[in-house]
Amino acid sequence: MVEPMKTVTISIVNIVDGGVCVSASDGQKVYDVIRDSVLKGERVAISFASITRMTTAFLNAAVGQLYGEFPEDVIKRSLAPPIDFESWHVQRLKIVIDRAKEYFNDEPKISKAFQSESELTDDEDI
Amino acid sequence: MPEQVSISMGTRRLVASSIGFASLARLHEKISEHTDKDIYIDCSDLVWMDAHLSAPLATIVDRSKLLGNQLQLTNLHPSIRLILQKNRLLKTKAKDTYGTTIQLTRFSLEEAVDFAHYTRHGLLQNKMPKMEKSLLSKFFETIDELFSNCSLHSKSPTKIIACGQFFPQSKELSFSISDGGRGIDGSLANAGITFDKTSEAIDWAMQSNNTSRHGDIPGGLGLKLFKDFIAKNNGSIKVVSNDGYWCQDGGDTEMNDISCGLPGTTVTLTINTADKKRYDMPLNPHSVSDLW
Repeated sequence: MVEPMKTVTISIVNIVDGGVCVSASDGQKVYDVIRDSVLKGERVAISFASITRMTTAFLNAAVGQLYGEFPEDVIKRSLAPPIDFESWHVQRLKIVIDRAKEYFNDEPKISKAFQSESELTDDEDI
Repeated sequence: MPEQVSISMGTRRLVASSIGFASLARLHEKISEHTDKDIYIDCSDLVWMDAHLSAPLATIVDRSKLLGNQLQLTNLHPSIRLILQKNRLLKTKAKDTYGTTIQLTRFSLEEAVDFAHYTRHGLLQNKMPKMEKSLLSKFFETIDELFSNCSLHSKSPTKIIACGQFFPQSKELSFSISDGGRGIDGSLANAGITFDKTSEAIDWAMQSNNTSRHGDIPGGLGLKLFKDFIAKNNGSIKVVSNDGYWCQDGGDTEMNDISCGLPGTTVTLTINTADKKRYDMPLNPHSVSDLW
């Protein structure tokens, strides 16, 4: 029997103080937290509560690069619908996700993250 | 004592148009010939200046300072001097009694958050227009994306400079962001994408999904996002990058190259603040559940 995935909420405002999400470097901080959860096998619900400003540069770094690291089916399984959002948050997020899928379309569909994890394990075995 | 040089501003009216930007480009070309001098920019012929063009003018000054020059504006008409004191282009300050100026401010490439706070505070002044929430959100989205583009692509050796002006009679808000970097064509050339004309490079960058970015983080969304907004708002956006000029006025686009180049890229955005249209479209519930 497959165990249900544990769902965790990642609140952007807890990572980017003040809810002004305009820089790619802050997006990278959010990405690192999401990535950790995905690698742990958790299901992530991203909370957009109190986000007043948000650029595509931030979102490209925070979530767009997920599509370069994980296969789409892993992302669909690991990310729950967002919560605490306003319509503009989701509209901008959708544009970034669609663009990321297109951008990484030619990439091999093997998770870079999982691949590098397994390479480390192989090295330890030797 | 450094040698002193006087250079004419070279125009009577400095406005945000291809002619106005060409005047600034000629000024930059003349100033760039000099190093380690005291340069006086003679403004005796100048009878009008769009205040927000202080941003590209300050970029020209900052680039020249990198060559060891010191610069001064001389023979300014009193009314122009006053507005340039209010918006802080000039070191001598004047109180902005009408509260219609978003003061000229310099930012490092990493200061996107400070820029966001600056624009919010600038629009909170009591004489600034009370815009509809969705219009204000769209305005912030646009200028945040502009700043982000400077941060990611310009490699500017000088700071990013921003400046804005509200015109109560026409209910227009104009805002300029300027950097002294490699320009849009320079950024694209660095990625191996070249064009015969600089204005064609700008036009390419303004199209959907086009980007010079490579690597793990996708790009290509910043500039195209606001073209539809400008058309719907009946506003305008003017992009000058090196010697290329690209303008969208409402739904119409114009592009041409100017005779010589400005340093880096300047984007001037003008919006109609009385616009009551909705820009936040209702969400389809399916788009949330099937987002990923």
